[in-house]
Amino acid sequence: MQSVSAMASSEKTPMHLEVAELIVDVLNLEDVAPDDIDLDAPLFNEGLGLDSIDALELSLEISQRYGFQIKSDDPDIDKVFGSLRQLAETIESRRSQ
Amino acid sequence: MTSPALVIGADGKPLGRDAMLGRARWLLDSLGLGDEKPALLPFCSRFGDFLAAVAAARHAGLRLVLPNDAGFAAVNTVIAETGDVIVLASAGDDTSGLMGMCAVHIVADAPAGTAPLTWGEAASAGISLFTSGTTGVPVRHTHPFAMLDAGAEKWAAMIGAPGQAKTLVSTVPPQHMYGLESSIMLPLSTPDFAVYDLRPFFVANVAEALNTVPGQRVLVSTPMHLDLLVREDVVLPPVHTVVSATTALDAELAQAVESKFRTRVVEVFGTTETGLIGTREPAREEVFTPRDDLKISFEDRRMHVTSGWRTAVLTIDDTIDPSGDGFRHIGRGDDLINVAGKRASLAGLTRALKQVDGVRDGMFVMPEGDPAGRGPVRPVAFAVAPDMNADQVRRALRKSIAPAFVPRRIVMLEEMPKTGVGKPHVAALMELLEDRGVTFSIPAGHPSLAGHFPGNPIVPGAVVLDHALRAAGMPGAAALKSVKFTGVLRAKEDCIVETSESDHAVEITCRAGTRQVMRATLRRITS
Repeated sequence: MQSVSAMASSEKTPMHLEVAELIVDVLNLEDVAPDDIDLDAPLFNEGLGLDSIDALELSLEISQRYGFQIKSDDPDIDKVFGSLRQLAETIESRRSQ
Repeated sequence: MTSPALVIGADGKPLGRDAMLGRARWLLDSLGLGDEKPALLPFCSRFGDFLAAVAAARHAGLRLVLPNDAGFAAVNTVIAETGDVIVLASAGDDTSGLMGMCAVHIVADAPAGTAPLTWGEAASAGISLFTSGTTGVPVRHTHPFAMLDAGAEKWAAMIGAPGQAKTLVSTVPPQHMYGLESSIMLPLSTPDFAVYDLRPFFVANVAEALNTVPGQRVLVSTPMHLDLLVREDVVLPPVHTVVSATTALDAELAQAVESKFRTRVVEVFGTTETGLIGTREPAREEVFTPRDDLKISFEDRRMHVTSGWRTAVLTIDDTIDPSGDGFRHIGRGDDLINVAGKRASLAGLTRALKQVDGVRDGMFVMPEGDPAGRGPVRPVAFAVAPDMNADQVRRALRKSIAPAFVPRRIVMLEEMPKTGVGKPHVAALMELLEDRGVTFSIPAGHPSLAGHFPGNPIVPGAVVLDHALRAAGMPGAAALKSVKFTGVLRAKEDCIVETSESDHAVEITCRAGTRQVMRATLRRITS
């Protein structure tokens, strides 16, 4: 059985771009354009290579912009920062503003 | 019969001193060492397990080794260097990246009725901590328990309120001197202190931890976390004392923390070699008051520290001036850099860069901070690697250096600029960083902006392209092959234009700050 995300489109939606822009902007990523961030590549370690300091900065921005807080014991924490697609999905499902 | 709490569980339940020292006894029993004396490496994510490991090692005369980073690369280096070592983990910890063949033991709760072992005379050789050396090899510092006990007393006096039960909540890993002295030695070696079992990470976790623990609350943290706590819309219960270390805490942030959380902020200055050296209340004081059992002296803006526990005098690499009976911390040394509280040596990082296969030459530098920028300033690397691109170099570096120091920006060079004596020309490299092309900005009253997003005008793409081509000196000399507008440019914002040329094409990139605005490729028109 194929997973939903494996069949999902590789085109970025406006929400994907919005979150990609947030990542580049908040983390001052040099050499990275929002459009260059792969939808399904890992954001942390491999892939984009973010680290725990970035996770803290992102969590603050997400809380201020979308009105929900991230905790390390959230059941879906691995997914939250998994990939751009997963982060955008998490924001869409948990946002309050 | 209950003993005073030593650990507060994730659910808020206190675990008494006897229960924790029972866990230490059970740990020794289940290791079944006989006459063997392996070193213990506590890799445990839970403070309670870490504390039990320290008590067990002290009692049984085992050495403890604490890598300077909790990442697998640093831990494996220390395992390999130590040899006979047992890694201790908490239940559920990810140990998958530990080197093969190493012994891993999960610290478990002791069966009811296990007799606590005593926390008394130290039979152990002490605790070895590591710092990242300039040569790329971690440097070992071994501290006897007597020194750590003396330090814990100074910590207890600094926090004050003797006789009142206090619970530490710490965002700091216990394998560094700062975390070891606060979250481990303070509860074990002095009365009145317990530690919350989990290390909260996100702001919401910190708030939850402080709301869970009983008694007077003490938050042990860093300027990075304190800054997030102030910026985030978070409500905390009253906190007795907030302790900060790892990098200078400015007065403004200290004052914000004090007024927002009704607390007192104390900053600790210390080193891996000595532990706590001095303290100050940064909201009101610039000068650190040195600890009374150390001798300090000054020479050429460097501080020398003499401690009864060390044979050699320690010279601190930072710029420090005497002031009255205390000292003023002016800045860090030339080689040591600090990213969000984590320290590394530029020489050590440069060495790791040069060891990457395919890199012929290279150098790490630390740019000046952008005061308006968010997040920590990261080091930048220059590399000469004819067959590699920046991304490949970055990927290789991730294998050998801690994530905080992996450069976000790597400038690929054909050769390193050198001074007359063959050393890298640092000033020339720094100029390369600043020389980021020409800039333009569109005034708010520009006719192209009329009717576009009133109040917060965004510059139309065609106008950006037109100005970029002119700024790059290209109008008419080339044909546009492709253009992509990748971000917004607002009126009055400085837009930086950079060009890179190959034989047949020119690539033009526009940025506003770090945000990329436009990327265009042009074909040269050859006559």
